[in-house]
Amino acid sequence: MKHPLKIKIAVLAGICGVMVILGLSIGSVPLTWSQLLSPEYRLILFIRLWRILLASVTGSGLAVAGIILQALFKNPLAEPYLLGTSSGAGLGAVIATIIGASSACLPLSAFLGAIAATLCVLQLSRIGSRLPVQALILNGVIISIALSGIIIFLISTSPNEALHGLMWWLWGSLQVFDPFLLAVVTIIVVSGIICAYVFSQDLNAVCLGEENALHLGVNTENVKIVLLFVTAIMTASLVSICGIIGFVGLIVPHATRFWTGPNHRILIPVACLTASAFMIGCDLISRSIATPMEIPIGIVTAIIGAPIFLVVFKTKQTGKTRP
Amino acid sequence: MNEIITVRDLCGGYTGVPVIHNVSFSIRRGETIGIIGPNGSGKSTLLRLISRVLCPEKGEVLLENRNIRTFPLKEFCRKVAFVGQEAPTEFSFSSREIVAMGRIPHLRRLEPESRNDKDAIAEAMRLTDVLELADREIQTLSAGECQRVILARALAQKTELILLDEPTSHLDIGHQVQILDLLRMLNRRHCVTIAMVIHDLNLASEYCDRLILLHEGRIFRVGAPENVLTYQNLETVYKTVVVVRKNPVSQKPYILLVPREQLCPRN
Repeated sequence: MKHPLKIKIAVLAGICGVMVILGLSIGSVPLTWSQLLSPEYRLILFIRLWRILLASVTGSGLAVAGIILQALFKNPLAEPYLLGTSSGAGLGAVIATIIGASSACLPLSAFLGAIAATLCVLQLSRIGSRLPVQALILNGVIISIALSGIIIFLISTSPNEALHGLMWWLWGSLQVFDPFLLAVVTIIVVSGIICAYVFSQDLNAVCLGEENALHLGVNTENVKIVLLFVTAIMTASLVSICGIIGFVGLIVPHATRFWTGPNHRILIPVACLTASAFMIGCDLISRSIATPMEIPIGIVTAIIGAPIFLVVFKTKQTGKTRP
Repeated sequence: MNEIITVRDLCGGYTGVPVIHNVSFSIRRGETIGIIGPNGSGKSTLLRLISRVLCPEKGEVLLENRNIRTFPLKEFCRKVAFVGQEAPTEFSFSSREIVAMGRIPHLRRLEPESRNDKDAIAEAMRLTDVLELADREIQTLSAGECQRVILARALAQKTELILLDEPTSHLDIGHQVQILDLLRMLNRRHCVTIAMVIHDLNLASEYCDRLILLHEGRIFRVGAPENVLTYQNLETVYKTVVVVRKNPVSQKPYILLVPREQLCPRN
C-alpha cells in the first residue's frame, strides 16, 4: 500500500519536472537552452519562469480550493467558483472598465468584486452562527447566475471597446503583467494551501458527516468558517490576476482522489503536484497550438479536462460495480 | 464516584420542538444500560443531548460530576465515544483510515500517529475482527462489516464510555448477536461503560444490566430488565398487546407479540 503511493508521487513529480522543462524551452521566440541561459535572453527566461510559477500557483490554489469545498459540502460537484467568486470578480472588472479605470486597477476591482459576492453568499446563507451547506450551495448558484446575467447585460449594451478585451480575460489567461502582483498572489495562495493542510485531519473527519466529526472532536462550524474564508481569499486573488479558469478545481481533486484515496494529508500535496503539471501542460498548449495567437487557458482546460474527467469517472464507476 | 454520567432535570430537543422533558438518571461506571421506548419517544434525542450534539434547554448533563459543556471538545471526545446510525460516506476511505480517525481527539493538528496511536488502532481492529478489511474501501463493505469498522473507530478513541444509537438496526440476527457479544466482551473485560439506544426489546433484555423505558419524552421506568419489561409497562407505552415469558436459557424476560386478530377471533 505504502510503496505504490511513493512510486505514484515520484512519477507525478517526474511529469511535473518534464512539464517545467518543456514550459521553459517552448515559447513564441524559438531559443536553444544555451541561448536561454545566456545573459542577453535573461528577460525571456524570467518571463517563462513567471508564467510557469503562475500556472503552478493557479492550478494548486484552485485544486486545493476545490478539495476544501468538496469535503465541506460533501458534494463531488463543488468547485472553487461555487461561492460566487468568478462572477463577482467578472462584474468587478467589467464595472471598472466601464467607468474607465486604468488596467492596473483591474485586479483590485476583480478581487473586491469576488470578495463582495462571496460575503453576500455567506451572509445570505447564515442562520445564527451556523452555515448550512445546502443554503451555501443554493445561494452560491443563484448569486452566480444573477451576476453573470448582469455582466452579459453590461457587455452587450456598452459601446466601450475595452470590454471586448475583457471577455478574453474572463476566459482566463496566464500572462504575467506584473511580477509584484504575482508575488502577492503566490504568498496568499501558498499560505492558503498551508492552512488547508493544517486542517487536513479535520477535513477527513468532516467527510464522515458533521455529527460524526463532532464525535471525533472536530467542530465543523469552526472549520467551515476558517476554510470558507481561506477558499474565498485564495480564489478571489487567483481570479483577479488570471481570470476564470474552469475545470481545474473540479477535475484535479477527483483525479487525485482516484489515485491516492481521500485522505487529505496525502491528497492536498499530491493534488498540488497534479494541478501544477496539468496547468503548465495546458498553458503550453494554449500558447503553442496556434502561435502567435494565444488560446484562453480556460478553453484548453475545459477541452482537455472534460474527457479526462469522463474517463476517471467511468473507471471509478466500473471499478465499483466489479464484485 | 460511581456514576460516570449524571443527567439532571434535562429538557431539550430541536429548536422550538422540546422532545425530552425533565429527565433525570445516571449511568454507573462499568454497566451496560439500554434506552428503549417507542418511535418518537425521544431515545435518540436523549443520546444526542448526552453526546453534546444538542444543547439542553434546561437541566444539565454531568460527566464525572462536571457539566459536559465545560469540557473542551477534544477532551470530551477522549472520554466519550459515539457510534451512530451513519450512512457510509461518499468518500472512499479505507477501513483503516476510518478507524484511525478515532485517534483525532488524542492528536494535535498535523501530529503524526505515534507508536501508541498505531497500537490503539490495531488493537481496536483486532477486537472487532476487521484487520483483514484494513485496505478495503468502506463503501465495499457489507452492513455488518461496516458497523464493526465504525465500532472499531469508537474503540480506537480509548474512551471509558461508548454511546451507541441502534447499533444493530440493519443487521441480521447473526450479526446482531455478534455486535452485542462484542460490546459485552468490551464491557466485561475492558471495563467500558456502554449506553445504547436499542429498538429490539429482546436484545435489550438479554444484553443490558439496566433499562430506561422512555414514554413521550419522559422516563416511564428505570431498572433491571425483569422490572421494566413487564406486560403492564409495555402495553401502556407501546399500546399493543404483548406476552412476556422467560428465556429458558438466560432466564431473562422475552417478549412475544400478539396480532390483533388473535385477540378477538370471533370478530
